[in-house]
Amino acid sequence: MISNPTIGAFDGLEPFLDRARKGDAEAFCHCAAAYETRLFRQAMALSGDFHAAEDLVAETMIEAWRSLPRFNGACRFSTWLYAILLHRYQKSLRRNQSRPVPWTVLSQPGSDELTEAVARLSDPQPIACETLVQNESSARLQAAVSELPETHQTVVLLRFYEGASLAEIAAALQLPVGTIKSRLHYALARLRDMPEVMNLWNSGGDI
Amino acid sequence: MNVNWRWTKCARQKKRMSLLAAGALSESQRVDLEQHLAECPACQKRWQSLQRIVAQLEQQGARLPLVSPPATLRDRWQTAIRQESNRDCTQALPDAPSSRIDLSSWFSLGRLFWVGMSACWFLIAVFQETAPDVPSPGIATGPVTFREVLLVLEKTRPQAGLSRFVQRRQSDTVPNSPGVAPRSQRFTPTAPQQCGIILVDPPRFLGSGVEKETRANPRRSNRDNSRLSMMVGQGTTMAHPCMARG
Repeated sequence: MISNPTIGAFDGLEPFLDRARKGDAEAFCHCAAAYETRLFRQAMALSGDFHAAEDLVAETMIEAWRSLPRFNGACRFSTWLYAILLHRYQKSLRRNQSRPVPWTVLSQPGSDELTEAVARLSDPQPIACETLVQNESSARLQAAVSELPETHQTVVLLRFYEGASLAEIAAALQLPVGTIKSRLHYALARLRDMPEVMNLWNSGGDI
Repeated sequence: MNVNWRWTKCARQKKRMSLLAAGALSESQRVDLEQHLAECPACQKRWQSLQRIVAQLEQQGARLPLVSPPATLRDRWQTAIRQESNRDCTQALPDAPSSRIDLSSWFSLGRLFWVGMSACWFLIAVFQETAPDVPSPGIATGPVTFREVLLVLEKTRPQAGLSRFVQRRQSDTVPNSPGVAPRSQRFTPTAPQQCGIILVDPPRFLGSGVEKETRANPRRSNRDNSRLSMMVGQGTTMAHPCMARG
């Protein structure tokens, strides 16, 4: 089970965040830089495209700087950044009307994109990559998640990919906790009712 | 009955199952749910599938692609933020004093509108303050009805032969009285000229019994009640358009 992080924990970056809220761009750059790598990986997992992930992270950082006065500290800074990233990603999907190929689909055997992406890895770990390739259920489940409505998808990703608590998700999305609970329930119920998800464990015959 | 009860209970526990799978259920609700799961095989099956989905999602979330961002990415967004910050700071600073006043920036459309409105209100306020309280002779200040005008004319100018109009106008207030001419044949002044030259002394008119008489008459028609804004001068008449409707 995901351990719920303490609300308001900013990994020792509170003084910089306070300065950033007062308009100090350098303090904000210092804060945001600490989350850049994780955010880029999350963007990569979402979009499956290196350049798209790069654009997403840049847009997210600039958007976060503009929206910083609205950040009230009720959730972790990383959760707030990830919520902005998801918003930008969904916006880019609507704009392009074409869904980028997810990372898990790219990681099918024989994919040229996979070879290129692995070549760019600074710390290549073939075991982890092989695991991704072999884990077909992971790819199917991610495809199923991407079929969910945007609002439900956001809650699922924030909860399970970012590890945010319901209160943090509510704070990041500026919604009541009850709404987050309902969305999470409907998202999981819908995932469970999807045939592709049901077929994941059909070999066991117990889903 | 028993089946219905069980169905509603299962429906209630569904949301709790999702929340428990996501690790977001209170302790008391968790105990209640576990008791239900112990006695309901259908919910047990659902609970197992939810657990698997959640475990897979968590596993997937923990296994992000191990890629590093390009070195140029940080420069890219940090430069954009610094530029934006500098631009904001520049805009916030007051402009350097200039010997030339830029009027085009000051005379915006909205600003001109509000200045004009303020000037109009100021002028109206000034005129209201300086206007005499007693109206000038020959001008009726308050609104009057057509019937009141005719009654005044009847008193002040009996030679004008307007008494028949007064009678007819009075008969309008009693629609069902016998011997009244049909509405189409009644007097309908279509132009101020038809009323003749009207001379009215406002103080006399306003203080006369005519005003009291007309106000005391409860059966005045709506037409008579319509107030006519008239400016009656020496030898001229400006009638409200509703006079022409008759």
